[in-house]
Amino acid sequence: MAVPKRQARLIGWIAPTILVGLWQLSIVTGLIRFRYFPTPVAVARALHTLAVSGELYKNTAHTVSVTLIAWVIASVLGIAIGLVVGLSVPLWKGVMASIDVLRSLPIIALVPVGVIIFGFTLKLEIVIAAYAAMWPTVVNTISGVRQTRAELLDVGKMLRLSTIERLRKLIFPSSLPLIMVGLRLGLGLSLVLTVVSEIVGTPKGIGNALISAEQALHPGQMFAYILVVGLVGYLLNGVFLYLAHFFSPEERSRGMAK
Amino acid sequence: MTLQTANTHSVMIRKSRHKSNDGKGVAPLVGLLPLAALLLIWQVFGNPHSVFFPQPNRWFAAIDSLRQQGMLWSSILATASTFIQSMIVATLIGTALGMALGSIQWGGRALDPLLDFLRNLPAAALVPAAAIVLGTNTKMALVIVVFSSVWPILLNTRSAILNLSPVLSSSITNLGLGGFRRSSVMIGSALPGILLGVRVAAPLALIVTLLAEFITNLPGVGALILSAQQNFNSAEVYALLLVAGVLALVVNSIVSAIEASVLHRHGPTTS
Amino acid sequence: MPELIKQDEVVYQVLDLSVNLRRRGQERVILESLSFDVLKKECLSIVGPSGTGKTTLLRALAGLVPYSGSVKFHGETLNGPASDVVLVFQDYVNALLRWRTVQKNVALGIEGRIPKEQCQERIDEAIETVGLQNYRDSYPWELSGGMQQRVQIARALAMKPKVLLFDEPFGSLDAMTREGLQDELLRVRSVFQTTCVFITHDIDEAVYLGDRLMLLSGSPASLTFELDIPLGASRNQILTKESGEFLGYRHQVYEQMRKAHGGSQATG
Repeated sequence: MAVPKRQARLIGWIAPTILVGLWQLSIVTGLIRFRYFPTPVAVARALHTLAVSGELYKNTAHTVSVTLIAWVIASVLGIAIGLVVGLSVPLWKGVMASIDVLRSLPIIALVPVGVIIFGFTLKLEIVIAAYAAMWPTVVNTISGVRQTRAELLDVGKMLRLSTIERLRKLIFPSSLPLIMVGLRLGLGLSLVLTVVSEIVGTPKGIGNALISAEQALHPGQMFAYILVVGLVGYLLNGVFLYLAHFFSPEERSRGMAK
Repeated sequence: MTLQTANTHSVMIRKSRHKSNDGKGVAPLVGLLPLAALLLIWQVFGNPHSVFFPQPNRWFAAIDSLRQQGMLWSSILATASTFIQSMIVATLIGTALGMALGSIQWGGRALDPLLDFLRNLPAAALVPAAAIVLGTNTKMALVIVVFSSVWPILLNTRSAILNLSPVLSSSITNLGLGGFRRSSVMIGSALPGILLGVRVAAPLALIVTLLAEFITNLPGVGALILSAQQNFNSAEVYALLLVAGVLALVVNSIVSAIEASVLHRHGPTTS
Repeated sequence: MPELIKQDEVVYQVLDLSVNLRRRGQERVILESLSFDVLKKECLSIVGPSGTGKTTLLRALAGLVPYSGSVKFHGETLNGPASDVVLVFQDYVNALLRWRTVQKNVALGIEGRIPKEQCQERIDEAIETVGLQNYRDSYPWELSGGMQQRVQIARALAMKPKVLLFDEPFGSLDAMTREGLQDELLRVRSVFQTTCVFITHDIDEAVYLGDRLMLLSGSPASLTFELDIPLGASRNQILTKESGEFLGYRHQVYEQMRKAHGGSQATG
C-alpha cells in the first residue's frame, strides 16, 4: 500500500509516458485512423513552431492574465457577499434561495447574454469568468461562516471581543479552509470561462487560437493549444495549493510529517 | 468504568447539541422573494424596447414562438437524450475504473498527476478537437460529455473504495467472497461515494452538453441559444437561459431523488 | 449563615434563578428557582448527574444565556458577560484557535488592549503558571488534551479574572492527567486568589476541589443539598483522598445524590 515517495513519483511519470507512446504507436501502425488526429510528434512539432513564433506566449499571457484578473474580482466580491449573507441569519433566510437559483443557472447559457450586452470584448471575458468564479467562493464563505462552532463564538463573548474582533479573529480564520476551497474552484472556473468566451468569439487568447487552428485544419496546433490549456490549469491549481500550503501552519506541519 | 462511560456520553450530548445549529440546512423558499422582486421591477419599470434587457414577458413570448415553430420540445429532447446517455455511460465507466484504481494496492495514488491533468482539461477546449477528429455529430457530443463528467464519479468511487473500513474488507475476504459477489458487496459499500460523484457530475454533464451544442451547432438547446445570440434576438437569449435553468433544476431534483431513495438504506453518513 | 457575611464578601448573589431553553422548537424549563451565593475567594463545586443543567447554570453565571429571577455580580444585575469573569469550556478542541500558537491563543483576550510589553509579560506569566514554557510556539493540535486544557486555563488567567468558571474542564481527560490538572488548579488558585465555580459530575473531583459543594438534581433542576468542605488549602491526591474527612464528605454526597434520584440506582 505505502509506496515510497520517489517510487510513486516515478510511476507518476511512467503512466503518461506510456499513454503518449501508445498514442504515437496506434496512429503510426494505423490501429486507429482518424483524418485529423495528430501524432504526439506532430503536436510537439506544432508546439515548437508556436513557441518560436511568439504566438504561444502572446496567447497564453492574454488568457492567464484575464483569468487572474477575473478571479481576483470574483474572490473579493465572493468573500464580501459570503460574509454579509453568512453572518446574518435573517438575511441568509431572505436571500439564500435566490443565490442557489442564480448559481445553478448553467453558465454557458449566460455567455450569450454577456455577448449581447458587451459584444466580443475584453469586458465580456472578464465579466463572464468573474461571474462564474464568484459562486463557489460565495457559497463556501457562507457555509464556512455559518459553520463556525458555537463554542468559538462563546469564547469571543467570554473574552469580551468586539464584533469586529470576533469577525477578524474567530469567524474569518475558522472559515478560511472552506473559503480556500471555494477560491480554488473559482480559479479553475475562471480559466474555463475565459477560454469559452475566447472560443465563442473574443478574438484573443488560447481559446481563439485553438478555434482558428481548427478552422485552418491544423490539428497539430490545435492539440498543442489544448495541451497548453491543460498545463495552465494544472499549474494554476498547483501554485494555488502550494501557496495555501505555505500559509497554513497546519497543512505545513502535515506536509512535513509525511 | 461507569464514570468513563458517563463521561463520553456527556461529551456526545454536547456535540450533538452544537451540531443542531452549525448552519447547515435547506434555505427557506422565502429567499426567492428578492429574485421575484427583481423580475417584477424589471417587468414594470423596464424599457419595452431595450435590446440588452428585454422585459420578462417578452421572454415568455419568445418561448411560445419557439414552441410554435416546433423547435422547443425537439431541442429539449435532443439535449436530454445526450445528457442521459452520457450520464449512464459516465457512471458505468467511472464506477468500473474507480473500483479498479481503488483496489490497486501498489501506489494507485501515483496516477494522480495524470488523472489531475486529464480532469482539469477544460471541456470547452476539447469540443473543437473532438469535432475535428470525430466529426460534428451526436457521438462526438457523447464522447466529450462522458470525458468531462466521468472524473467526479471515478475519483469519488476510488476514494470510497480506498476508505472502505478495514473490518469490511477483511470480512469480505473471511467470508470467502470472490469474483462477482465480491464486487457486488464492494459496489454496495461504495454506493454513497458513487452517488456523490454522480451528484457532482450531473450538472457538469448538462453544462458540457449545452456547450458542445453551442460550439458545434449540434441540434439541442445549446444550438438554439447560439442562433438566438447570432440573430441578436435578446428576448430569446433570456428565454433560453430560463429554459436551461429549469433543465438544471430538473436534473438536480432527479439526482437528489435518486440519492435519497438509495441512501436511506445506508443510514446517516458521517461525512 | 448569610446574615453573618459582609456584603463585599459576596461575588454572586443568585435569587430565584430560572432558565428556559428552546430546544428543537420546544421551550423547556432547565433550571427552576435556584438561590445561592458565591463568596469571594472560595471554590464552589456544583455536582450533579449528566444532563441536569449544570452547564446551563454556569452559562447563566457567565452571562451567556438569558434568565429570569435575579443574578447580582458584585451587587449589580448581570446582563451579558461581566468583565472579570472567564469561563473555561470543557470542549478545549473547539475553544482554542487551531490556527494560533499557544502564545497567540493566550493573547486573544488581552492583545491590543494593554501596552505590548505588559501584554507579553502577562502572557509569559500565564504560560509559566500552567507549565507550558516549552510549548509557546506550538499549535494546539500538536499538544495532548491535558496540555490543550492548560492553554485554555492560561488564556483565562491572562485576563486576570476575579472569577473563573469551570465547565467540567477535565471531563474528557484520562484519570492521570485529570489528577495532575486538579492539583495544578489548586496551586493556581492559591497563587492568584481567584474565586472559582467548578462544575463536574465526578463527586471525588467536586469534593477534592471545593471549599463548598452544591448538588444540582431533578428535572427541571434545583439545588437539593449543600455542604461545607473545610479540608484546608493544601490538599494532596493520596493523603487527602484517603483521609476520613474526605471519605465522610464523599459518602454524604453519594447518599444525597441517590436520594435525589428517588432511591433508584443511576446506572446509565
